[in-house]
Amino acid sequence: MRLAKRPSWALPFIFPALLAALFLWPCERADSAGLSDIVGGVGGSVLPGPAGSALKAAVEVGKSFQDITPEQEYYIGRAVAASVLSVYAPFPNDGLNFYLNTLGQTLAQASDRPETFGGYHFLVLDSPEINAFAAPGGLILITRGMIRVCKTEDALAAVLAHEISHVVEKHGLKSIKSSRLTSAFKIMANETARSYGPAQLSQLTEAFGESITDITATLMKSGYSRELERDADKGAVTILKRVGYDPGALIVMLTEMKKQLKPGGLDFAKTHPDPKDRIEDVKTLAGGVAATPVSAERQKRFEKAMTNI
Amino acid sequence: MKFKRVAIFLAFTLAIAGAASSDSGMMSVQVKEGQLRSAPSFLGPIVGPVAYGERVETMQKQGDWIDVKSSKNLRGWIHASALTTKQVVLNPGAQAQPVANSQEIALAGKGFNADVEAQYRRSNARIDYAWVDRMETMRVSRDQMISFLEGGNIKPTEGGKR
Repeated sequence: MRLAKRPSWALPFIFPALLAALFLWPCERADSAGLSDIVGGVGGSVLPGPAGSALKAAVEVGKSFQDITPEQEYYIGRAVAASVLSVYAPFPNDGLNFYLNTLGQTLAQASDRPETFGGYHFLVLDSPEINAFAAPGGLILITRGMIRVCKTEDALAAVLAHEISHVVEKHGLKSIKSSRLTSAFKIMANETARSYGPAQLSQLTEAFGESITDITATLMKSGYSRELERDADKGAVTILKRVGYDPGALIVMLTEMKKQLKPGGLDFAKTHPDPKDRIEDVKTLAGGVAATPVSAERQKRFEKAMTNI
Repeated sequence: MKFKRVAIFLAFTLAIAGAASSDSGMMSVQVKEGQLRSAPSFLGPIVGPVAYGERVETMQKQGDWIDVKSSKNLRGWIHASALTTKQVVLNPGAQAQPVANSQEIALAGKGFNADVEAQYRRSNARIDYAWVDRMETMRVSRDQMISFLEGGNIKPTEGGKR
């Protein structure tokens, strides 16, 4: 995955150390005036006047999707999942949903972002369409139609790992138009009260609603770019390798989808690049198609879970 | 004018002090429920929980895993994605002056929050959250993951350590 996005571990330490040395700032002084003392730490004490103004001057208002906190991502993801669930009915099969969560959460733990604010959760949608949706924060929805295409646990793992990678890489948040975030961050910057006033709340809710529309339109209509899909495939291969599934299962899955998807169809075919193109990319990543034999136990439990699919 | 200069000076001091505090190796938990483990692996036994916003002291690092000591003196490994170098201010409204999102601070419960969700739900009555809430109750424990892997003859590679 794109490690470059993650700030280097050392940077936050080197830069301030250099700055402190440059100004011969005694360490004790710096410690005693730590940021936590000034803003009151998690307990939230009162901020003194001048320091408060300084704080305002010192800080920068968030600008991009990268400034969305995991907590805010969580609320965005809930609304996106709820929106998808207002179009697709859930498939309330406890056994299948438990199997899906056991497999999916295990895969997510091996991703580059195992920890999101509310964690990863999976649900089957009662639709014959071949489709899957990843809402920000880790709420992942997959249709019965897509599950039916999977002939092995490894194939299902490949689909889930691809969706998990969309969450890891924050692809959903990326599809929010920056104007929505600009207005939301502006309100946050000017806000002093413990809770929002009616005007601020309605402005924020408007920006929120528009953000949800941006994401759901991308998930259900326009789809991600080929580049983002390639990133998700790359992430999927990494996850499959780490957990011990066959990364070649992603190729098997894409080949199967190519057979079953109708060009110009309204589902996965519409929102995803041609599987043929993706297969070529994944072959390079997975290192050939050397399909490892699936253990009898694994296949048996997979087929058991698929009883009513 | 004088005030402005004082403000700039203080801002600069803050920049150093804030950064220096991460020099001492403090980070904050940025997920709803964090867990400390006795080994740097998602299959590592769980030592105990850390709460959202809790400050932890970083002791050492291995790959994407960080060995920390919690404010309750609990010691264990946690994945880097659960932590932020920012200070999570849990109660931002309690402050007299406005603060904003920044490199050093993350405001909990601000921006898109539970109030915004409630307002959004009022104006979008057709959007039903019932199954979203239900999804969040679907949790799989470490023990269940281990027996799932064993039952399927699945052997995590080095990645299991991530």
